[in-house]
Amino acid sequence: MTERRHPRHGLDDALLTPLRFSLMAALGPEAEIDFATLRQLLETDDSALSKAIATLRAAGYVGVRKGYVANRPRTWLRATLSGRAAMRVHVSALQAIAGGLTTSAASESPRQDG
Amino acid sequence: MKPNDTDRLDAAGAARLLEAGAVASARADGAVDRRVLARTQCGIAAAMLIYISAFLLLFGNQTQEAVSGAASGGYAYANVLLIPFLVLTQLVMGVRDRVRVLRAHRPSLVFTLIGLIPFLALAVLSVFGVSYPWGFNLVAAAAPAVPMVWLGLKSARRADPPATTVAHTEPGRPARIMTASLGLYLGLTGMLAAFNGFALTGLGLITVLIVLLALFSSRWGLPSLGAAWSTREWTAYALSFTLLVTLAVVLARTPWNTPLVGVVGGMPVAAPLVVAAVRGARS
Repeated sequence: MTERRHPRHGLDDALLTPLRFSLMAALGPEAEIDFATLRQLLETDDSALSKAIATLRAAGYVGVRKGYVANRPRTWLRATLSGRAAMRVHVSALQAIAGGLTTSAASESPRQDG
Repeated sequence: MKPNDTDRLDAAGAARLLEAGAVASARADGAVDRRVLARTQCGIAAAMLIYISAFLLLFGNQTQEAVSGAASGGYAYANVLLIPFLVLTQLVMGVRDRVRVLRAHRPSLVFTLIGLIPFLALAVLSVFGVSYPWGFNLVAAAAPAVPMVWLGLKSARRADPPATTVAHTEPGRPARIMTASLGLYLGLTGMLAAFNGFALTGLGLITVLIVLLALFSSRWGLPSLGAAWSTREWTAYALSFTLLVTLAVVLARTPWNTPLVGVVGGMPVAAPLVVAAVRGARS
């Protein structure tokens, strides 16, 4: 018999702010986006975005690549494997909460569709 | 985030977060410049077609004696083919970096890997001296390139113009110096291929390539150079690439394997990129 748990147990603190969640959603499973474009897409400023990235990097959810384009430094971000897995679980929990549903503990696996 | 924040999230808050995520995802998707990505994919496909065709022309369906005795270089001619191809893959990374939002295209990767199987199979047959119909070379050369071009064009046809495009400026002084140096490097590769002892000098050229690849994330790296290039430099590189591969085939498979042919053939290999760098400085 499977134990029933409230979906809030599937939520991830690192993804709970709108900015961090939107950042992970923008990156998705296979995108790599540069810092300036992310700032533009998410309608935020350098400071807030840097803080959000620092938190997500500390959680191991985003990877950073640095390079040069036309002699100017640029930073790109992408979601890591663990970031993608965490996002899937988090989205499932959000959907369950938004729908007023409860999910089973067994269904909170990274294989869930987000 | 405080530990009890998860407890305070209600259905409305969860719905707002999901909505914000959907908007961000849609915006990121709209910022992908699929046309540029498709162009780079078609460029790589063309280079792969030339590279594999030349490789199989030199080494495919040949006896060991024919290959090892091919002029003086034998298998070392693989370096002459490999160098411009590896340089191209790094330069193309720079073009992809310019588009700001990159999106991996998994079907292309899968089709390309599957398409490389015939080439690898023919390479193995050649190593073991097993002969096969000549037409298989054409199939092996086209197998990875055709799906790449087809998927690239399909993706480009469906794409809307990106919401934001990046303005392109003329390559700066460091990029022009690197462009001219790259031309001289490719030209030197072609020249040295005609001299005795290319097996050894070829290793030196590969070492230079490894250093270039190691610098990939620096401002002197090839991706940074590729990002700075305009159509003029790309056209010049396509010419140098094709001329160098042609020179390798001529040196390896014809009796014209003389230092004179190497020197005379190496200069046109270097010329397009050197000229492009000089013209860039004047404009």
